[in-house]
Order: sequence, then structure tokens, then C-alpha cells
Amino acid sequence: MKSVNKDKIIRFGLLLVILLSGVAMIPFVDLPVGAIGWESLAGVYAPELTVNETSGAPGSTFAFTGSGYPPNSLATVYVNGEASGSVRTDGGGSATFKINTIGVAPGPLNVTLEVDINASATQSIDLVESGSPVTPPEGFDGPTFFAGHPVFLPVFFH
Amino acid sequence: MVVHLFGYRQSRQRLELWQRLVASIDWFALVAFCLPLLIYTLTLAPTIYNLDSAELTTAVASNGIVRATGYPLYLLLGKIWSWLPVGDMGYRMNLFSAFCGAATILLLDRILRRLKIMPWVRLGALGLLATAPYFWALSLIAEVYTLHTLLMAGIILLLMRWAEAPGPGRLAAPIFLAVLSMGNHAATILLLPGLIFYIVASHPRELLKRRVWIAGILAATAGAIIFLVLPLRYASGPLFNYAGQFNAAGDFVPVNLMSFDGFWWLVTGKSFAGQMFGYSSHELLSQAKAFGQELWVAFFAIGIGPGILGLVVLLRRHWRLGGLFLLLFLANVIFYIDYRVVDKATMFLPAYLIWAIWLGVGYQTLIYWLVRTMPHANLKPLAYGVLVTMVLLALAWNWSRVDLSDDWSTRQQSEEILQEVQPNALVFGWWDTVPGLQYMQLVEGQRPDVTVINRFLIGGDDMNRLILSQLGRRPIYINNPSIELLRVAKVTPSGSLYHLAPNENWSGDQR
Repeated sequence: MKSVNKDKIIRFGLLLVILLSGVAMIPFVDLPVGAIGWESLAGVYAPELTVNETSGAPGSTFAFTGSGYPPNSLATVYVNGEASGSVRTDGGGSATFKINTIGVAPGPLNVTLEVDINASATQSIDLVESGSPVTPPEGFDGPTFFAGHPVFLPVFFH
Repeated sequence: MVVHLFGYRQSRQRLELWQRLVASIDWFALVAFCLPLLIYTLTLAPTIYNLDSAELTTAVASNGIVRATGYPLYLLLGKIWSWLPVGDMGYRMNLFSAFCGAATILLLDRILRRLKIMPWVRLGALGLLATAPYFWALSLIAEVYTLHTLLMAGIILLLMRWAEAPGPGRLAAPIFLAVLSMGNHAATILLLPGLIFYIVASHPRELLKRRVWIAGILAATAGAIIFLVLPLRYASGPLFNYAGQFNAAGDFVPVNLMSFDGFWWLVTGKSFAGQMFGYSSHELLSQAKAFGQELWVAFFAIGIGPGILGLVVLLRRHWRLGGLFLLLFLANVIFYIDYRVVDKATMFLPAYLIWAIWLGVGYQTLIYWLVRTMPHANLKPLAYGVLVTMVLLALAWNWSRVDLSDDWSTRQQSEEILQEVQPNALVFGWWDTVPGLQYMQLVEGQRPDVTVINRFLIGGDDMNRLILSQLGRRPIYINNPSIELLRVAKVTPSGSLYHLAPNENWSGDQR
């Protein structure tokens, strides 16, 4: 009798373990929340460059994020067609960098991140005299490049 | 009184006839098909959708040619389906995917019946598949994947039928369907290891019969006829053609599909060979983990343990069938885990199909254990209730992730671009822009004056040369101008594109 009960308990326990094993993985799994749509899949066909704000006062620092680029590739950052620096894309084809607009006159700027002709994306930003200063979001990581050509003069104190 | 009696007898006969008809209906099969179809119709994209969906829909509507691997079966079946008098062309092709998704569930119900799985257990397993995010999402837009799963389920069912009573005709049927299925998706080739294993393991002596080989070869030949669609369409000179390249003069040079080389290039998908086996060994683990997570999400966590149990039980009790399903699963998973494309989460549907079969077997095994453990407590209804509740929870949880019933974005984007661009414009874009524009032009007749080129179909250097030759002569728009263009052109944002015009550096010598 006791052995029969023991068998039942073992079988019932095994049943619960099998049934709930997937549920037990919840703390270890990233639960997806985003909608499944063409926007989330478009990167496979064209890289994208986004910026935290599309307009700000001259002197602002804008945070750019590139996605959908060839992975582990060297990408050059251009501002209005002139090279400002380079970043390396990660294994997922993404890269981040900042553009500092100190010394740049108000007006539009075209910022391009390009690996090659077919892996290139441009994002426009607008420097507006009356605009608010823009800073990168907290924790945003990436090298800083200058849109203008600021000259830093050393100052000596006697 | 005689008249009354006669009338009563007629009504009674009609009632009996009606009762016989109702009794003859396979209600579970009806539910297996109609319920998913209803859910998919309620969440269906209402019009043209984007990316591959727009390309496939436009090709069906305009008798065009799509990129590798050609998809001739999809183009032909889609053409027939498109004659349905509902919605616009985009809606009809989305509905085709919904039909194929629901029909897949129906055929899987048949497969599980052959495995003697109880009705409510089948509902529990197939319900999780039908509401799995990517299975559901791909049943809502024009795509080839649910037709692929439908054909795959059909092949499995026909093969199981052959195994019960082997004969040349019964083997010819799945062979015909497999070759035909290659005309929808070349990934059918991943089914071969499992199919060959099952045939050899089940009735190896059949392969010694000449009649079997003759029937098989004839069936394969009949299935391969579908590929004639491609050279025939090429010969008609279609306006919509994604098998070719634009040159620097802006002329489209199609791949000659009437030549063997051109035809073979298209159907074997050589243009995508670079993405196959595209990960290094240290990257593969993360890709495998990502698939594991997708599987976990697809079967709502609860389907993982029972699925594994079903795999083990099937291998132990019916090793031939177990081996077939295991090989079908592994071939698809191993290939796609190592396929370097961002949208590969959409390609695991065949693996999910097999998992649903294992899940049905696993659920049934667990219920038997439960009944044997507590034979005096009537726990079956409770167990069935749990399975159905899981399906309802999955339905509610995933609905908002996949619902496209209000997604007009592709139509809106395309119409805005065509309203924005000036007459005789030259427009360059990628898959997220161009196929929708081409749909508007070729299917709905909007802005035929605009030339639209998918950057997938033109080399970077040729595109730059073409743009420089046309700069200042006609309005040019592009989604992402390269650096070379930024240096010579004035670039102005224009909706979702950039308008290019000569700038002060432009001398015309750059042409």
C-alpha cells in the first residue's frame, strides 16, 4: 500500500514538474512586449539612424543610434558630407555616437553613418537659435564627434 | 386530417435528415479550421502590407516575377485566390495566408487523430500553435510561410497514409506534393532527410519495386511542372520583375529565365547563399538561445515540458514516426539558427508545427498519468479545462502583439510619397518603401509617371552614376543618400525620403 502511494506521489510530482517546467523559466527569459510588424523587420533591408532629438540650440550634443548595419564593421560618421570620425558596429549591426554642435551656426545638419554605399543612413537635425539645449540621455554610451571645427585655446593662470 | 398527417410526416423527415446531417459533421475538424480562420480574419491586415508582402502581392496581381527563389506555386495559387470578390488585392492576399494557416491547423488535427490523440488535447496543442505569435502574425499578411506549413502537413499526412498500406500510388502522392512544395518555398528541401528516413525505415522493400520508382519519378516530374511558370512569365515581359538588375543607365536587365543558368540561379537562391551558415561558432550559442526563447514564447511556456515529453514518448513508441518528426525539426532548426538574417524569427514555423505534434502527444501522456494516479477522481474535465484556459490566455496575451486590423501604414506611406514627389520623379528606396509604391502604381494605377527603383536591384556604384546623370534633369528622391551624393547634392528631407537637387558644388561634370 505504502509503495503504491509512493509511486502515485512520484508520478504526480513528475507530472507537475513536466507541466510547469516551462513556467519555471520565466525569471530567465526576456518576455517580448513589442508588436510584430514590418517596422521591426525593416532593418534587414535598410539601415536606420535615429537621434534623441531632431532639433536643439547650437552647442547641443545629440545622441545617435544606428541599427541594421552589417555587423562588426567600421562605419564612418559624416556631418554634411564631411567625415567626423568612425565607430564599429556590434554583432547586431548597431552603433551609437554623439555629435557635439559647439561652434556650429544655426541651420540644418545632415548626419550620416555609412559602412558602404548600400549600408548608409542619414538623419537630419536642426540647430535653432531659440531652441532648447539637447543633451544625450543618461547612460548613453558612444564616442563624441564635433560637427564644427572648434578651436580650443589653452588658458594659463599665473 | 390526411393533409395534416402528410405535412407532419414531411416535417419529421426533414428533421431526421437535418439531424443526420448535423451528426455527420465532424465538429472538431470544423472548429479546428473555422476558429483560427475567424481569429485571423478579425486581426488581418486590412490592405497592402509592407516588405515581402507588398512584393508578393504586386507580383500576383501583375503576373510578375519575384526575387529568388521565384515562388511559382505561390504566384499561381495566389492568382486563383485573387479572383475572390472581397476587399482590395492586398486584403485578398492577406486572407490567403489566413486560409493557409487555418488549413494547416486542420491538417495537424488529422495527424494528431492518427496518433489517437483525444479531441480536447488536440484543441489544447493546436490552439497554442494557432495563437503562437509568429504563426499568427504570418497568417495575417501576404507571405509564403503558412502555405509552406500547409504543404508540409499535407506531406506528413500522405506519408503516414502510405505507411499504413504501402503502394506506388500512395507514395507518389507525398512525392508529388513535396516537389510541388519546392515551388512555394525552397526550404522544402529541409524536409528530405526526415522523409527519406521514414520511407526507408517503414517499408524498405518497397524501394526494390520498379513500379514504385516509376510512380515516384512520374510524380516528381508532375510536381516540377510548376516551375514552368517562371520562364513563361519571363517570356511575357512583365512590368514587375525582381529577377535582374538595373544598370547605370537606369535600364532593367532581367535574368534570362529561359536559359538554364538564369533559371537555376533564381530557383536555387544563389543570391542569398552568403547569409546561409553565416555565424561563427562562438555566435551560434546565442542564436540557439534566441531560438529557444522564441519556442518558449510560441508555446506560452506551458508547452515546453510536455513537448519534450511528447518527443521522447513518440520516439519510444513509434520510433519511425518519432525519427521522422525529429529529423524534420532538427533540419529546420539547425539551418535557420545559422541563417544570418534579421527576420529569421519568421522562419521557424515548420519547427513549431512539429512541436505542436509533440505537445499533443505529451499532453495526452500527462493526462493518462493523471488518471492512473488518481483513478477515482474524475480529473479529465479539469485537465481539459486547464488546456483550454492556456489557449485562451495565449490568445489574450498575444492579440495585441499581432493585431494588424488597423494597420494602414504601408498604404498611407506609399500614398504620401506619391503625393509628395514631383512629376517624372526618380525614386530610390529599399524594401520598406519601394514595393508599396510599386503596388500603388501597377495594381491601382497611381502615378505611372514616377520611376521607382528598389536599391536591392541596383549596385551602389551604378545607382550613384545614374543619380549623377539625372541630377538637375528630373526630380530625384532617395531614402538614404550616400556620402558621395551628399557632397554634390542639396539634400532636403521630403516626407520619408530625401529630395536631391544640384548644390553649389555641382558643375555637371560629375555626370
